Amino acid sequence: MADEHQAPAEPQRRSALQGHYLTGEFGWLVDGVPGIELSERRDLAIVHIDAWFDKHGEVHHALRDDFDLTPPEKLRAVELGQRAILSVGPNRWLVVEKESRNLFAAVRKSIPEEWAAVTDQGHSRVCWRLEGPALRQVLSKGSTLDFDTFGDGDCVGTILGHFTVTIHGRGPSGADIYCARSFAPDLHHWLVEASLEYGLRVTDPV
Amino acid sequence: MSGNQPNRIPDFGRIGRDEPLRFTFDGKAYTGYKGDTLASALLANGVKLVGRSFKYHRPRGVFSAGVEEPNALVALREGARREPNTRATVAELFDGLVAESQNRSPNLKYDIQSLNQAIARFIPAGFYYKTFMGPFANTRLWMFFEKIIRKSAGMGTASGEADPDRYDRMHAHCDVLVIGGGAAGLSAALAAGEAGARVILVDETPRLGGRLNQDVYKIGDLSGGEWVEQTIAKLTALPTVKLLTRTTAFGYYDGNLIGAVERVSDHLPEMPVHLPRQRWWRFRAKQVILATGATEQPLVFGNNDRPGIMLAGAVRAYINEYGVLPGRRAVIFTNNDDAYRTALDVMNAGGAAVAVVDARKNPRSTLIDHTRGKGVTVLTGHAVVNTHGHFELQAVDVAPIDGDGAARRLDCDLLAISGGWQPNVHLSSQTGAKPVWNDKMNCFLPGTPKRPEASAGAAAGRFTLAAVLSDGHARGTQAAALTGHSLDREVKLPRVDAETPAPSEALWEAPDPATGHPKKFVDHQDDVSADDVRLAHREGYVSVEHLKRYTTLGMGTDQGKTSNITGLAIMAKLRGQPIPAVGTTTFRPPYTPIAIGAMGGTERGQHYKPRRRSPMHDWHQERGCEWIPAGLWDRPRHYPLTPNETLRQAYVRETKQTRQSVGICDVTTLGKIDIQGPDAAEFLNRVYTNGFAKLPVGKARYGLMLREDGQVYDDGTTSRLGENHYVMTTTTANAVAVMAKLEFYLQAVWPDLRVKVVSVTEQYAAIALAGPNSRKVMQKIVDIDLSDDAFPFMACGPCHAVTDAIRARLFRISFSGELAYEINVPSDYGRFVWDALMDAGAEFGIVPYGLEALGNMRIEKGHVAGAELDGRTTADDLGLGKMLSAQKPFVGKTLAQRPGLTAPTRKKLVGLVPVDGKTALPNGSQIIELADRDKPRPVKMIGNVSSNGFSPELNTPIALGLLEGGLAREGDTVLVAYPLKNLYIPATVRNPHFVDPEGKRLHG
Repeated sequence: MADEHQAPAEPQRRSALQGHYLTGEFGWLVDGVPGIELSERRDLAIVHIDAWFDKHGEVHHALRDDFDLTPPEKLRAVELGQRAILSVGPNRWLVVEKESRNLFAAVRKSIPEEWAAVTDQGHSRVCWRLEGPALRQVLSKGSTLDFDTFGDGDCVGTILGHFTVTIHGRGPSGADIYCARSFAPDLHHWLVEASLEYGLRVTDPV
Repeated sequence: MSGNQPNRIPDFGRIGRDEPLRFTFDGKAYTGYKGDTLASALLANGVKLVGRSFKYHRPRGVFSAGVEEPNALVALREGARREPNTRATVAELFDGLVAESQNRSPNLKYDIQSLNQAIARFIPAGFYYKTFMGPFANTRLWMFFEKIIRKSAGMGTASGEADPDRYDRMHAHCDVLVIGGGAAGLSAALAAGEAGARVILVDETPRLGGRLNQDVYKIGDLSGGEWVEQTIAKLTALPTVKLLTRTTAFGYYDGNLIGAVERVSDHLPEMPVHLPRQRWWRFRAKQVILATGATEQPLVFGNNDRPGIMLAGAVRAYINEYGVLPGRRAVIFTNNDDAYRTALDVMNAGGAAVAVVDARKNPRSTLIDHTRGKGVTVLTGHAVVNTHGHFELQAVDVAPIDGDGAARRLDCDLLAISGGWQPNVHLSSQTGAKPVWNDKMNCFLPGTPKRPEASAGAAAGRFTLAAVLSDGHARGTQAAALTGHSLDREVKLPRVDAETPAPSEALWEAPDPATGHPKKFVDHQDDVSADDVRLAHREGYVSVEHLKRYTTLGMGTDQGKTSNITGLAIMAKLRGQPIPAVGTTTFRPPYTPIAIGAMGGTERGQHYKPRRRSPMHDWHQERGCEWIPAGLWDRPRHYPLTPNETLRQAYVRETKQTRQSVGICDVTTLGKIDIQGPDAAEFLNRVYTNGFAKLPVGKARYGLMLREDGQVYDDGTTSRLGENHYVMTTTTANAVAVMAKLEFYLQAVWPDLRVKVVSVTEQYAAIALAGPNSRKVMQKIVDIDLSDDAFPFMACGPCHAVTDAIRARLFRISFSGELAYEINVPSDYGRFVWDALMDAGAEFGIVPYGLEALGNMRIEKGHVAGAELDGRTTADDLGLGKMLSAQKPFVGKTLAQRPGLTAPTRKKLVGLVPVDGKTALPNGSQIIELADRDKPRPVKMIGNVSSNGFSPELNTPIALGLLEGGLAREGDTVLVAYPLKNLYIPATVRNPHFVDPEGKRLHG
């Protein structure tokens, strides 16, 4: 960095939803109770792991030992505190946690390149946390999945409206939805519109 | 009769008499009740004339009480929400409803076009086609008269305004989908639901119950209505059962997918802001039960279309469901027992049943005896042969079928007709199950199922209540069992009185009266008469599909629900063949009309297609850029300095400033693919035409990809970030396709290669900085030495941008031909770094440039892009033949050597400038020889213009093109032809590298 240049203030991550994300209550809340509560999970660290087919066991052990989570079987996700590991394909996982360290470096250190390709994807996804009794209806507006049989710990890649998403089921009526960053504003508006008839509360990002 | 609704009868119907609703029809105010349809409310108010017929503009009244209605088509609502061709029989009444008749001028009563009746003999079926054959063929007369005919014979018109309402979509899965909420459907849903199956029941009406709401039945100790309420309560209590009313299943598709539309708020005066107007459902069911009921068929006789002539079942529906007696003196004309109920219900409601005219010679049943016992005259072996009246029915002529036509006149204001019931086999037949004709029942029954479905109740040809209930229960139980659910107790079905109706007898067309030959309508909506069918037969249109197209029989909003059977029966008789030999027309979705808005669903306006935004999107917006779509991305096209600055002025300014000092461009949209693994170099060597095995770490290389057939596929740079780590860039348009192709190669073609690919397009914001001052600007924000020695052309490497917190990748690559850099930073920092670069570049007058300037600069440099990589060009065509390595195999190599792809006559890349130095050479122009300018067309096309721009440095329009002979013709003058605008521009062929052909600036 050239000495004469005065660096701007310390950078803050700018969410793709900035300018689109409005908190408050929207739509048809019955007795003040929303059918959906929505919040953006901001500043996530996300690392994509793609293991060589013959190194699946090594990666499993490394994640279990170094990240306290046993990688889930296909179409599942596991979660511990602020950390989750999502199965996103054969021998492919996403490690997700709130950004507080260089997660990519930590994963790379744990999993050498002889075992897996490891790629930083922390800025490539936007994540919404949805919770509420109308969750199934809202998701069913955009996805052909059978959400009656989709539950806690399930994890699928699917189409929601126009958008390719990963959905991680949490509890009986909650889900985290991950979508590519560039599509995020449109998906956010889609989620808001889809939720209006059930009553929507958008809370501060978490 | 009550108050201002003269035909409303007390103590009948399921309407809310404590909720009066005001509405208007053709500007006149009326009152109805909650639960009415527009048709029932009009009938309650004594309004019989509701429309004019399609062709002859004959007065028409309400004919049915359901979706099959051919006559009562009206326009509902006003302004942008005006919806034409709505069936009054299914339009739910709401307070403030505004309805208007259509296809009449100046008004419904006095319609000038009713004069068409006087020339009816000259406008039979097919006149439209015939009139303009022979001497009129291919003349302007056809176009002239077509407009008049279309205007006169039409239906309603839409508002022409954008639909203001929202439409929604929903997907649902279930074990058992029950379509139809009548007795059979309710019974089936209850059986399946109580067995524990996930059940969805849909019904097109607002009230479940079907005919149980419209006829008088006892089920055990309950009335039909009470049984319905009790059953709904049971179903509602079951946690796995979902009931959907106002939902029409319109189509049955592969994979047991059923399409349906729910009218969520059509029945409300104001559309609630948070509710869609309609919702498009897609049901995926393991088993489907088609309890879709049956449609009563009319009879064909002279002048059978006057207002006051109505299906017999509809009369009972108006009495029992809506509390409306459509006429005081009723004649019933039938060929079956069911219509006798109408006589009894009319009398029970206070009307007079003048007579039952039964086409059968000697029918015997308890119901007939009971009707006779009530004092009703029953004329067997008779038919109605003519009717009288104009705006309403006044009398009918009745004659023995086998007699000489001598008729007796019966005064009446209501004629209830029944030609028997036709099961609604539409959805069943959409699966490919061909309907089967049943001679005894005179109707088509569903064919052998081809999907996991079963028809139940009337839809399966079971027409007594006992049979309907038990069939529904059996089908529901069976469907549940097939999905693994069964009830561990026996269910006792409710007791229902046995019915033993006399067999019906077909009467497809009543005889003419003794004198005259009145019109006998087969298809009321399309004004198709029995004579039209005969005419079609005489003229050789003997297939039912041809009959339909020639006469329009079965077209329109009702799709022949009350006409197809009769029409094909008449045709069968004319052909001397049985009905099964003639067959039916094809049943296609939708079962009933669907609003285009519902099909569009949420994909409108903002959500018509997804838009991709770069991390710097808001900056471009704030700067006032003009946007242009690039694939799904929004990209800045240019940044006008003033409102009056034109596109060309803007991009020329941006080009000049970039070449003279420094410009900045958002290139996030280019595809970025991370490639990792010990075999990555070998992989790249195979997919690119040029060598990558020896690319050192910290270097980038331009690469070219071919398709398997040898044509150029994509290009871009690939940089080696580590020993086993590369990042590939692709064009914006091909980013997804290239990624998919690489995945395919790795998974299917070379699974032995140890390589992984991951898209990082979204992970990084990409910013290009170009121009002689770009190094000075970039150096201000990165922590590595950018001197030419330390970071030469095609160098790449990691760095920090602005602060140590931002880990970036820097590339010294150039699309503009200038000294240039591209920096990739994590996307959430994209805007921050962009701002920092703008600050850093302020002293150099940094200019943001858009897609136009980007394209213009690459044209100046002769770089190919999407316009040239059009799937028809080879590497050699584009001047890139040297990139085809002879040292290694690569995708597309073999087929690139085909004679056709290496022929010397192929068109090759050239540069073009107009001889006059002024006239732009439009994209898409054809290139012809100058000598062919004045020759008769066609002349040979020797090339085309692929891209054009304006070079500030040369001060002339420039273009890239593909030309036979290529650069061998450098210096020649050719003619750039754009015949659509009559442009013929002489242009000089020259080297496509217009600016800095030696590439000195790149190495500056």
